[in-house]
Amino acid sequence: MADFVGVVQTLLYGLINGSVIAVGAVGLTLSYGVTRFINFAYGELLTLGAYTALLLVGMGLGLPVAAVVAVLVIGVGGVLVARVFYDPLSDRGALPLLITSIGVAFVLRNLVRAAAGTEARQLPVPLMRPWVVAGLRLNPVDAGVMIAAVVAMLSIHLLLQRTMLGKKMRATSGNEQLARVAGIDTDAVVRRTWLISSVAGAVAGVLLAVQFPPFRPTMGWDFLIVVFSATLLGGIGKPYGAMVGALVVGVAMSVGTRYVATEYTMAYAFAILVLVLLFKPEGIAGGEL
Amino acid sequence: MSEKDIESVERLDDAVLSARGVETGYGDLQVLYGVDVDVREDEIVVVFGPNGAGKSTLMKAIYRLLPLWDGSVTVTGDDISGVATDDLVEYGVSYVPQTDNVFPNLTVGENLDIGGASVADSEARRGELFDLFPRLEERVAQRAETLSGGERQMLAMARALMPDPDVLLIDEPSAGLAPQLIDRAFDHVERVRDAGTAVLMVEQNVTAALRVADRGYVLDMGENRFEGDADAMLDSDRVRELYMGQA
Ligand SMILES: Nc1ncnc2c1ncn2[C@@H]1O[C@H](COP(=O)(O)OP(=O)(O)OP(=O)(O)O)[C@@H](O)[C@H]1O
Ligand SMILES: [Mg+2]
Repeated sequence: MADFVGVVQTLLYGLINGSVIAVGAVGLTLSYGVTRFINFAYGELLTLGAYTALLLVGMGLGLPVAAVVAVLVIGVGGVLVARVFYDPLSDRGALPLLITSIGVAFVLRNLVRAAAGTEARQLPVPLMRPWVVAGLRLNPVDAGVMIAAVVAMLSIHLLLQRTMLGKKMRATSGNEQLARVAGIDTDAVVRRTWLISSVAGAVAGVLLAVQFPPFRPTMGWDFLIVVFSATLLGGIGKPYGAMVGALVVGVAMSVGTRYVATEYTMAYAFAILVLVLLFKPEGIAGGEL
Repeated sequence: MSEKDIESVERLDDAVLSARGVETGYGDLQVLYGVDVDVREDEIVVVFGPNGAGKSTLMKAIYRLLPLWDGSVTVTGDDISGVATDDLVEYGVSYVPQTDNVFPNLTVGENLDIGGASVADSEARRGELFDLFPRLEERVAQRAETLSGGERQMLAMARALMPDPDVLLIDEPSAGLAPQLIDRAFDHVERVRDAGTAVLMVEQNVTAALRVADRGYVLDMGENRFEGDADAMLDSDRVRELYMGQA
């Protein structure tokens, strides 16, 4: 009972982490749902989002403006990467695409390293005193991160359910050939999906950089395990599944770090990944948006 | 008049849809060897023949899901041989495939939204189709994968009719339906035609299909075998014997 507040505090941290993971997982799962291949270069979009924001801050922009511009730039960049590397292979099946994306990830990661160096960097996040309510501590920055994540998630929800583009994305995900028969330009849908996926990745990257400074060029690649476990837990290709999966993974990481052992944060996500593959292998079989 | 030879498929100049000399196949496997089919305004035309004859393949070739190795397809006078599948709706032709013909993960209403994506007043059109298929209106918020076979077939047809096409291609509208639903399915086809959409349908329930159809074509081994008016085909002993599974 004495540690009741501690437990709630740990859950709260878990949910905050989970909301950031959710943005990343939804972006990955959307692109899978429509294109049917797992983009291993997705983690680099997170890294590029963070580093582009850093670059823009260095050019004198305020952090919020830099973050928004970085997200848009990386959104477009993600579409270009897909056009150059993935489109030409799109009728060869998932395996060549998957291997290509691993290569793309390697190249992008090393470009960031060459341009920005390997040392740890951080965004100019103001140091703030946490709010304390009933013994629970909440840092205003964390609150901001969570709000941004929730807004991102709601936007994606509204896009999928309420807009014609969202319906076309789900139709393409459900039956690509019938989508073309019904008059949908599925190539255009795929391009827009890459845009949305890349934007979500860049948002997740900036939020991650804000929440867990400092970061290095490997941040996105390292975080990919976390995103994968959330995505697969929810059933890859299912955005709402990814959101729930992300909250579970976030809480598991927080609880594990607090009550089991501090130094294995990533290991808890990896453990979930392994458990999913063992007991719920249909998670990787994929579903429709 | 129904027992014509392959060489002499009648060519109709006033056809809304005209497929001529269609050759296609899968990879190296040729399936169609020059098939001719015409559909006139206000007509229901049925294509039948043995399993594996190439009926579905003909539909896919017309709808550009398979490359035309040879031959041509025109719709209301426009050559669509080089038009991409996703542009065909704009040419006034819609297609209901034999299987996987609804979006399972979308609701009934959303399936219709997709069909009406390029329709100016899709709400009004949706209302018209609900008049034709009241069952769909009751199920508008239900995911398509939860529909019964008959409802699914209705939804597939309604989705394709959203743009109010000049011609509807439909592959086995009665497939998998309980006997008492089969007549209902053909009833719907008839009403579609009465509403101004010509219909080219593939069917195995030949007798029932010919009763609502104006003309028919028999396809066998990827070639035209017989053609004629529906009544004449119903009366033809040879067609009955060879292709209707009854003497
Ligand atoms: N995707 C495919 N790949 C290779 N061959 C195919 C494919 N689809 C059909 N075929 C072959 O093409 C031939 C014609 O098939 P099609 O589906 O057009 O027949 P059908 O007349 O529609 O038959 P059914 O009455 O059974 O529906 C068959 O021999 C079939 O095995
Ligand atoms: Mg068939």
